[in-house]
Amino acid sequence: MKVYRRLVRTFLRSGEMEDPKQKKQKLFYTLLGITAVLFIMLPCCLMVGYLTYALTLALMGNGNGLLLVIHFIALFSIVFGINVILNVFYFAGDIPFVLPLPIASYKVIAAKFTTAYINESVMQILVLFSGLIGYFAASGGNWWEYPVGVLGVLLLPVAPLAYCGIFCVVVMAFTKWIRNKDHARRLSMLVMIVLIGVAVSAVGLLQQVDMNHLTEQLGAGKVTFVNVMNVVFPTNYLLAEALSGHNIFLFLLYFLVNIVIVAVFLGLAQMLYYRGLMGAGTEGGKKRKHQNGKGAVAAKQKAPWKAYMKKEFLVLLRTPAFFLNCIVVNILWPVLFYVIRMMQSDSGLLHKYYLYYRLGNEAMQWIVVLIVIGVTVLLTAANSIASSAITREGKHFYVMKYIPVDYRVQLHVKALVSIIISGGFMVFYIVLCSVWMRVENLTSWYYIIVSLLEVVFVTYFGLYLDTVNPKLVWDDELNALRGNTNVFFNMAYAMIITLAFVVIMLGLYLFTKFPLWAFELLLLVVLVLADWGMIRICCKKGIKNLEELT
Amino acid sequence: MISFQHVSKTFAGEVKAVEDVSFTVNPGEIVGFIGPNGSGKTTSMKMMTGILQPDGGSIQIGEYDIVKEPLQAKRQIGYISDNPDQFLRLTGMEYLDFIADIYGISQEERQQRIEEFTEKFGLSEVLSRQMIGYSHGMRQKMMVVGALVHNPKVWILDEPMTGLDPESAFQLKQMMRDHAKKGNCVLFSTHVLEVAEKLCDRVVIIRYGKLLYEGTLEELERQSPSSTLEEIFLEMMSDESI
Repeated sequence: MKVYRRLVRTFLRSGEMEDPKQKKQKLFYTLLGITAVLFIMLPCCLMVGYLTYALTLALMGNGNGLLLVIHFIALFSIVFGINVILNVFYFAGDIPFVLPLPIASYKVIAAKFTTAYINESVMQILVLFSGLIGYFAASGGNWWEYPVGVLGVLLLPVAPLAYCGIFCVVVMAFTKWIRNKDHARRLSMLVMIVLIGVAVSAVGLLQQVDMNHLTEQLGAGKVTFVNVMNVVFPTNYLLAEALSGHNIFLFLLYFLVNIVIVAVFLGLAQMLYYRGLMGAGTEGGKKRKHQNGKGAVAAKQKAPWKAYMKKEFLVLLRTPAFFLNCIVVNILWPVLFYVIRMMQSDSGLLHKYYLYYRLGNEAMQWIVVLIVIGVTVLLTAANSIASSAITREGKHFYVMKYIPVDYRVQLHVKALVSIIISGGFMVFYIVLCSVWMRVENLTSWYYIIVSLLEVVFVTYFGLYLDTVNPKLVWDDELNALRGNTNVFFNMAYAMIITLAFVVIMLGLYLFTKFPLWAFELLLLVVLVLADWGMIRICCKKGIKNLEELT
Repeated sequence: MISFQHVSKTFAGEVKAVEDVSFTVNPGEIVGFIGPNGSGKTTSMKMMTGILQPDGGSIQIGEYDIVKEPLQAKRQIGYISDNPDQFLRLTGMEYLDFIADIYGISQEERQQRIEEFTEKFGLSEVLSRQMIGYSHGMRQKMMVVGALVHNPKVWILDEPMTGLDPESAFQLKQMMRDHAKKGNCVLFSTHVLEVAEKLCDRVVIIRYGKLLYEGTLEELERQSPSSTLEEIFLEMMSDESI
């Protein structure tokens, strides 16, 4: 047990992000963390809690509302769990050091599973707790159900993660192709896309369902999704039933089934883990043919900033983890839009707003501008191109410091890469939406300019955050992005800023008689000033941060 | 060519990594930088290349101060770090083109140098492959080529022989000699005393961030004629009174 505990502690420490060294930066980081929790985690938890509360009330204390919520969260954890398991079990940098040690393999496997559970589940458990609180608030409950509920929630992420573990251990053991790190990343990307596709199709089907009827069906336990998920995740079903049926024996069964699932995973891992490890982690670049049958030919001389930008693009495009998290992620926005569109019928709110917009309703014109800003902020922050720009350098960060290229140039080039990618996607989406909504050319151009100005602001803000405390120690590219608080902070603050913006703009609209053109002009001025200020901060303080980084 | 004068560096306000160290590397010289692990060699080299900022003292590379005129000073340097895992997603050729562009090398010049160096190190055939597929030794050789492709006057090499096969190590030593003969200078760190003995005009020995000795190895051996170089070195390292 002592060895197991020590292994878990070591695995966790090796993936952790260091705190900033200087007191001022530490304080800045703590403040960022507190605000992010207050403005992002708390609203998110409140939302899940309220949803569960409302569903439970509507179903008169029936546990199927809670069940629906935890099924969705389980699906979500499967999507990300495969990557986490592959990372911790097969591609972590500690593997070559741990395997030769005289430690029983089951201890290594158990410690790695615990590490994956802790890495993956902290936020998930917080959200699940909110759901549980919402459920208890609506249904009441016996005294013993509170501690049982808490324990139950702590165990809920175990089964989905163990499923991911079983999938990975089997696939890695029997498929040679997958042992290449890049291939494994591509497979997990494919699984994610397939799961998202399934979710989108499911939402598409919801379009034909009447929500009142759905609630009735849910109460009667006749929703196919829930029934299928009950079979796939019996643990979710048992916990919800134990709580709603006030049945302690079902809870004990829940506990037992969890043990069985983990035991099956550990047993399989004991048999297959080492087999899958043989050759795992190899990384092979594609071989390109020599030109003209001779040796490779040197390229024409380029300006240093162009060469630097080419390097940045090549790293982003060729590293599967970066490609997936920084570029492919931008494609998810139309998917989200499709989901919202599908959930609304032709008489729905969205369609009504669309008609208002087409009729030239002034409030709707304002709202569309705010939507453009909101989506731009979220897209740019979520793709983490800027907020991981220094982090991505990793162990070879020092190259930034010894090459004879001004830090200012390096920062601007990194920002430009983010602006080109985020801005490119945003322009494409705006053009697409403009065609769909039959927006006038001039208005489309305005949306594009506003969006690009916003991209610039979020980019430089993310870049600045990453100069304060980049996560330079990582042994796997995915590890550079996951658990990187800069990415989370950039997203959190981008959302806070957007919210503040929306409130101010709505205030202007409601309490002043600003005409639309004046508001649009004011917005441009504000954005230009914000960009100018942010670029100045990033260049001045960001460069100082880079100089002090060791 | 390298003037390292009264340089100090402290980490986290407590750990004195380098303490008032002074030495010079003159044109035409190969100087070995010797010391046990944690003695401050890499920290010193990182300060010379602009990777770390010194707390005090001055570092001159050619005519330029690395703190006051960092870009000009950096252009004089070819640096090989102790970690060859750089830009692994680029092909060898893309990496060399990147470095050549950063240092403003024309296409003809870089083509000629790349051909010469990659031929010497046996890398010609792998230039069009991503470096992630290279062995550790191949990556190390690629770093050597990358550091030299802009024909720098000052070579600062941190453990350059690590991971090199005997043939490549021989080639690199030969290149260091040729480079010094042309009036340039080489500073390299090593743990292998035989390499220092055969290659260096002078050595700089440091321990716990303090300078212990600067001079030729012959002078050092003359001080204890009955001892081998290894014995003298070990004695210096264990003598707490120094």
